Amino acid sequence: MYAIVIGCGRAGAEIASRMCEQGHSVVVIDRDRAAFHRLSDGFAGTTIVGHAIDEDCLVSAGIERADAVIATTYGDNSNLIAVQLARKRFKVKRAIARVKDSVRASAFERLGFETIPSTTIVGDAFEQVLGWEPHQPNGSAENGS
Amino acid sequence: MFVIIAGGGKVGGQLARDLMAERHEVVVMESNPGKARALQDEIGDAVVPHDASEGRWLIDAGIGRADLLIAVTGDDEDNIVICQLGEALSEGRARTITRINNPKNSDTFRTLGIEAIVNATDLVMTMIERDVSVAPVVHLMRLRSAGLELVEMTVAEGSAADGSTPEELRLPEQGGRISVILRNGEAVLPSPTTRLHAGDSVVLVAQTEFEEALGRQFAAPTIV
Repeated sequence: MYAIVIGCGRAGAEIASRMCEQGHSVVVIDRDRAAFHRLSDGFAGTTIVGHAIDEDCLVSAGIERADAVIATTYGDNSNLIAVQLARKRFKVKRAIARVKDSVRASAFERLGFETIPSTTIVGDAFEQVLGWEPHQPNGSAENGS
Repeated sequence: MFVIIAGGGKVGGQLARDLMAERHEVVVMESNPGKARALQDEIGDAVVPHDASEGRWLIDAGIGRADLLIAVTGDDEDNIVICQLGEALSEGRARTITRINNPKNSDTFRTLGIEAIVNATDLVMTMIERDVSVAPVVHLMRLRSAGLELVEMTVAEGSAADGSTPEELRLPEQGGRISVILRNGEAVLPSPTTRLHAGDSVVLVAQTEFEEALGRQFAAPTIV
């Protein structure tokens, strides 16, 4: 698989390193060159300094032949724009955005975009560890409220 | 009309004042505490001091019953997501408009299918800011990919549009949708029952094939 990971924070570096270990081709994009130190020592992929929604940067990362785009920057909105560009502009099959805001994540899921709702996932994990039932996500606006 | 404005900067604040002066219900969302406080001093409770792209606050601000969501923060990515989120959370009920801060982004946003909204608003804003010149039909821009035109038409005296409402003119059936009415230099957000008057400038999005027919409704009657 040829994958582009946008954002090389803890989560981005983790998934990029894991994918590389599993033998996938990985390109990591981050605005800050220093962020790439988070990648594992054995990381054999490519790194590019650039911005998440800069089309020229995405093209130079090879987005036109990518199988997957994984957006993990600090900003939910940048991630959501990046996956929309990947899907609509570059016809990438899988494009997944990390979205911290649970409501925003479920809204964009309903619009047909894949998200990793990280806050919800962490919350669920805590509940599971505590032996509670996972809570029901509530992402829709109540009309007339 | 109930309007939520995302972004309480210069444009957002001015929009809020204009809309409130026209007796619309307005909520402004501004995440910068200093800016929010300054605006609160002026317009009071109508300010929600939070980020509009944060779902719970947009719900809290009343997106479920909003007629219009205007995103005018200084960040293009935020504006787009706020509009998309607003549409999703209101189940398509709220109309949304936004502006592009950086023209470099217009191609990007066009690919996301939000060309009409982004560019139209940008132009509408510019038109509101300057004095709008009077011309019969001005092509503001051609929205080719969608087969749409954004045109400005002036209501001529005695025309079919003079004294009629968008509903009576059956504009939606002809592919026309009025974005804004410019009356005496002020912007009026139309409802289906807003009556048009001679001299009004109307900015509308029209399907290219219907544009000529729409233009006839705004033109002065010809004497045969």
